[in-house]
Amino acid sequence: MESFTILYNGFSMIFEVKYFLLMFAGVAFGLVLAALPGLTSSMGIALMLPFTYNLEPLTSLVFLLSIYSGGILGGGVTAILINTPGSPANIATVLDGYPMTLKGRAEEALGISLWSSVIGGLIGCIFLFFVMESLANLALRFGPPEMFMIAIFGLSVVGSLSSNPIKSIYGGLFGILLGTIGMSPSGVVRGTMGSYYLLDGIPFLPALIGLLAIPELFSLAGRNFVVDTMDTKFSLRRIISSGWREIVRHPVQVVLCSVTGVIVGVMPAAGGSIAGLLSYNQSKQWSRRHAEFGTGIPEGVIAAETANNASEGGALATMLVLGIPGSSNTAMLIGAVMIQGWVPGPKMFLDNKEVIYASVSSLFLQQIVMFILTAVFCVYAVRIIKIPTRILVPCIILFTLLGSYSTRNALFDCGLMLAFGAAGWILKKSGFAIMSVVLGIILGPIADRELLRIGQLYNGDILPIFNRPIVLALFLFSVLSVIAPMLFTLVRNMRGKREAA
Amino acid sequence: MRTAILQKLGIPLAMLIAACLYYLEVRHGHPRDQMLIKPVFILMAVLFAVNGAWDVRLCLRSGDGGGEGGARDWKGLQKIGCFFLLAVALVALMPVLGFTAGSMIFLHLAFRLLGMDNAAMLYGLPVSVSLVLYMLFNELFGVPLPTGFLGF
Repeated sequence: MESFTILYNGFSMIFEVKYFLLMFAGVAFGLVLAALPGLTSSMGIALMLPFTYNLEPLTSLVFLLSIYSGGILGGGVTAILINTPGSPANIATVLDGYPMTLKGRAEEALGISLWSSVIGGLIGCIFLFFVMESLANLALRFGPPEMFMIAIFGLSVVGSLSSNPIKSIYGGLFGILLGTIGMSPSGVVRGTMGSYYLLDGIPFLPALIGLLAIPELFSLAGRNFVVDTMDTKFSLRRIISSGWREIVRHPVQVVLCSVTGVIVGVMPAAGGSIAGLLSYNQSKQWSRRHAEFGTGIPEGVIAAETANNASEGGALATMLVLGIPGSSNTAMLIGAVMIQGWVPGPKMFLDNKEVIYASVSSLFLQQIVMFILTAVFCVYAVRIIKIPTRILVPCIILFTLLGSYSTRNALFDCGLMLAFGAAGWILKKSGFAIMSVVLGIILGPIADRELLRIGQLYNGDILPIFNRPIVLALFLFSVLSVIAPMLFTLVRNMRGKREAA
Repeated sequence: MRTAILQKLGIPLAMLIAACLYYLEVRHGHPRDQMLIKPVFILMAVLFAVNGAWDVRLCLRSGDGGGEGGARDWKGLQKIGCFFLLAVALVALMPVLGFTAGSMIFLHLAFRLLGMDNAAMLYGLPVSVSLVLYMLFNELFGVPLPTGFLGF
């Protein structure tokens, strides 16, 4: 009941022209960025971070969350129209979205994507609203052993982040080592190579911008245009009506895929791409038309787009309450709240409950804003995508340099960002999952700090922590999240072989 | 064959060497400061061996000579390399040139490098973008951008 009152207060705080303008600006920006293949909404949040330094926490969160919301939907437009997912979350959308375009049903596919995203997003928001409070209360009972196991649980998903689990885990371990650089919790300086800029550890934002944004910009630098050809005209009315018709035909699928998305979203680093693919596979297995999946049927687009949007509600719950990023977007948002002086974790939620609920209220409104803007955007997307990369890329590089510099007003951070950018590009080319390194950098210091505390609590013995039920449950979940993808792959391969035979 | 194996193992090896140097630095300290670092390093070494053996086996089985398509990618790689060096030069020279002048030169050269030939865009866009960013950050948001010998 108290939550409803806070949510009501949140809505009354949000109903201001200023916030609506910010929502429109943020959603539009996120939408445009995510629609440009290679540019992601996490990059958009990174670009806009310097602008939030002097803003109030609520204003900053509403603006950045709007970029985040817009970013999830924008990527589906290019996935459907030109077979190029604007962001990794839209990978599954291309499977049926583009074939629908080839069949001359692009408007319908865009409409389905639009409605699925909004409904999935709303279900994600509802989950976020109902679960956040209890998740925070549970998290309050967390001591060093539980926090250590949360970090391990977060790290346990790195194996499923690329097609080569060994490389992915290897990258994650390297990230953990990078994350422990700096002054240790006991006051010992480690791996700084004499640089006092690294005493506080590797600065999070430059590392993140470098690893996630720069490799994508380098890839774009080798091309003339972000997108080469597109010359279709669309009608706004047809997009909305045809999409709605398909959505009301599959209400059960919409709800089930949204729930799948939310569950995947809660898992650290699983993100929208895994949610979309998992939901797509699930729908394919359960559908009576499973043989037609991949040939351009609405069910395929519904499965992908509801799940990837719903996953963000789950990811936000984990990020706002536990301080664990469920995706690169939430990793950037953690950076944003740290700028506001907030310390990610259960205490952050309890100390800033009103602001967080107000920003969750804004998420509901953002779905409506998103619907309006995306519907219009679908019609005009063509022109934006035609901007030459030779203009876009240098300007964005300049922005990322400024974003890194502004964190501490230190040019060292710009150099560090470029170094991480080069490293990220090489790692990407070598088949490493960059997100696993990022997760290591984020969760490594937490694991290191909590392990030190466990050592002090139990005189260097780690085994007694398994007497605690939450630790045991988290440990089992961690083991499950390592083993389950391998088992699924094994079963799928065996089934494939059997079918082939 | 040797090139292909080197290509596959080079990056993981570089990561392992960096991890090894880091571990060697901390191993003389108190055991509590290496409670996480030590097992992580050992696990990395094990995974390197497993992954390396797997990659070598794959290379030997496929007989992949590597280097194919190298010339094709070289031009793109050169462009990206030059672009990256330009960004590094901007950061290195920013204390001397200042943000505004430095970013104008960077944008101009980057536009040229990426093949822009419109004179108005080549000169107009860098000046306008740099000035807008300077005004936004320095004046509006109060972020003190580096000033060079020109004083801005």
